[in-house]
Amino acid sequence: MTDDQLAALGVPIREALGRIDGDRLRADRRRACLEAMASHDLDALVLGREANARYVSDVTRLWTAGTRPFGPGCVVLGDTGAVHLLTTWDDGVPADIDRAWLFGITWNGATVMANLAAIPGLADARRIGVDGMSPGMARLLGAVAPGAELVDATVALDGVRRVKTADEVDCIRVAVAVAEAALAEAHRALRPGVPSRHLTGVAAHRMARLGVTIPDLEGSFRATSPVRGPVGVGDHGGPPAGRPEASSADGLAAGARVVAQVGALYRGYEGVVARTWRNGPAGGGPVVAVPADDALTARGERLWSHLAAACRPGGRGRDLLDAYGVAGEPLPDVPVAHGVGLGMEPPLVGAALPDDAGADTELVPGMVLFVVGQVTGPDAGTHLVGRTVLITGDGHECLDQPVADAVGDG
Amino acid sequence: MGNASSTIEPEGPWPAGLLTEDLDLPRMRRQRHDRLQRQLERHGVDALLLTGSGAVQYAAGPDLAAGDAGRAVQQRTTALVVAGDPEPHLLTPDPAAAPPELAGDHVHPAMYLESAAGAEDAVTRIADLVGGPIGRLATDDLSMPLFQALTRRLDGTDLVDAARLLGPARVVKTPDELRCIRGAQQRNELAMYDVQRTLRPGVRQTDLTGTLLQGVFDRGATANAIDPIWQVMPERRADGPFTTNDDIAFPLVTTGRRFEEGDVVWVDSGVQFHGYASDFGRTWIVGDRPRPTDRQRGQFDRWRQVVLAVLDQVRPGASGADLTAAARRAAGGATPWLSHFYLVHGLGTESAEAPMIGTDAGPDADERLTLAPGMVLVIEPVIWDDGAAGYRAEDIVAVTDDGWVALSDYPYDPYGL
Repeated sequence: MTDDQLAALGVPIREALGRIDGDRLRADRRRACLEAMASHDLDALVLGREANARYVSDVTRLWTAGTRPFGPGCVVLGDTGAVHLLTTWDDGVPADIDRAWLFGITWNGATVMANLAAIPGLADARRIGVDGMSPGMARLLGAVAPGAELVDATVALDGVRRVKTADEVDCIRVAVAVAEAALAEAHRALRPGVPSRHLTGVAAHRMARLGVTIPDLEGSFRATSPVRGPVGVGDHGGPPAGRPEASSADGLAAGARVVAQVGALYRGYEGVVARTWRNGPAGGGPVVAVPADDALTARGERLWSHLAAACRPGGRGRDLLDAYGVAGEPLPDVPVAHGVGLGMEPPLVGAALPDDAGADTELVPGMVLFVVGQVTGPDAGTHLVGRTVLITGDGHECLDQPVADAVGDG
Repeated sequence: MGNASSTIEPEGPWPAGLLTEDLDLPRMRRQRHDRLQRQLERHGVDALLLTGSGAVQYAAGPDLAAGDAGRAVQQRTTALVVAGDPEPHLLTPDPAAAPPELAGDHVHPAMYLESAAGAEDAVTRIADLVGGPIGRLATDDLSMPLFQALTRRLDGTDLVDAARLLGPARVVKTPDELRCIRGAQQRNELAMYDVQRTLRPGVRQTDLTGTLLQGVFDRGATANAIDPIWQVMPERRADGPFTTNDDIAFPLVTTGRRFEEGDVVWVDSGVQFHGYASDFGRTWIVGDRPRPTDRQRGQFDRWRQVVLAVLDQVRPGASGADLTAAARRAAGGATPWLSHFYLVHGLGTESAEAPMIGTDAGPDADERLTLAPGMVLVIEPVIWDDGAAGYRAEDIVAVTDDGWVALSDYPYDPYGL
């Protein structure tokens, strides 16, 4: 990606790009990681998750969709601060990572073991933090560092990733603007009968023209249908109450309420935007998308005002759940909020999630959350707005465009 | 290229059902489940708990939007296959993604595997769904909280790697799986005609990505699987990035770099169709009317000779070593593939899976591998002339009862045959 392509996003984004100091961003994260290792008494980290590897190393490696099996993609030694990376070349590797610290792609278990054994200090580690595990990796790490206790590294890493530096917030601002531009382009292509996959392609095309080819979430454009009551055993073939239907190759019907969601990653940071549209007038007519300006939208706006009030320092994740209750709206089955950083991250707050996933988490300045307001109506389908919110010293700042100004509801 | 494209170019803007008339998705899922059940029985495993995206896709077939790993981890879709159970369990935040024929009592809310309380609850639910003692549990990619909760709560349960069961089940494809791979490959290739037409000096790498993604989604691809690669190759290896193995650095991450006249571009992409991956690999030359030099044409000819020599060996009963030996003979004794990859890899719900031939797992591994009908082989030799770059492309075949059938069908322009 080259930032000159992103200049098309306007003055505020050009200013954000101008403020981002890549060396500072990298150094701040590295220091925070090493401090967390010290405070959690971790001699080494063996990381398989790309976002964790990126946080500590700032490496850019080939993106593939979905998860990869846990394996040693990045190894950090607390004593020396050395960051060892799984990569066969130094393209995408920051200059402060020594070439001697790179170990290449291999398909041979014995070579994986030898590569790890060759990392100075790993064999003597007493406590190793890992961010995933498999039966085979448990055996392998047991052989490489026989005396080591394996512990969950995500406790330490989630802690330092949670509060964003100013550089990180600016990266998120850029990513959100990319997602908004992609969503706006898809909105221009919205018309009765258009397949949702076409809109997915339009959004991806717009992102790529801005130089961003990594989706946080491929564009999702779902027509929502009226609530049909609770879904029982053997009846999951239809959408659950108020849930958007799966994307259809048959096209989005005229008059359908469409929940649109796009996510982009800039330097690994997540920008995601969700809005609800009305797909042209029912029964055809002019091919124009109009605001979904009905009672459901009004309920959505009222809910949002309660959610916004809960986005403040000193509050807890559960305050966002309570906001639904205060607004008189039932909790949706999607998360009400998730942490925004190097992709989706904790805290996660939702009706179906355990309290220790995010409801218990204290909101502090510097946290960035994606907050979802979703209401459903018996005849109107689903109205969903998702916004990216930075917790500040005295409240919050929305990092996306106001809903009324964007291509969502009026 | 124009002639080739006109014969298979779709007529409408959003064609549906390309070459999928005979595709029966419920049958495909049933046959995969039967294979996993046979593996459970063979290995004496009571249940298979899967969290990895490709493995879940194989076991339970959800129709999920593609996304980044962080999203997949925080909103896990999990499959649980219990020995003797006629269907898999699917635990997902998006129940609408479940296959329509999957019984309602096998579709469940997602488990949250990233916190201690979530993992405790997950173990309780897993034990309830298995419904009996768990002597052996096969798993793939566990969160650390889940690994800790499983080892603490299921005392006496032997945890084994799911790969031991998934590998043998997945390596041979059913006819429906081959239709899905062909469907993914055809959509990928059709979109590549659009892309190759736009390749000109001044165009950016990321512009090609935009054209490709719009094209594959319009043709019914269900997801993009990998950030597409449009790597401009240096003439000399030493002019490229440092490598740990003194080989050519490939594949490198796409940027906003603008192409220049005469650039040699190695292309690699993969999209999905009903969970199955394509794999597109070709070498292109940048220009308004690109014409390879004699030396470049020679590279392509040598690449083609290697592929033909390999294909000449492809039949049931041949070993992986037969293929590597044929490739080396055709290359005059050299090893004509990247040392960090392979001569051949398979394709399925992962973009590179077994069989892998010519890897650093060594000649013994190639010797032990025996080709069988239904295996998919992506053949990707590399010809490199230091000082004049090289040629790389990928051709895909499926092993049949008496040879092979092609699953890829894209011209080699501007090199030509």
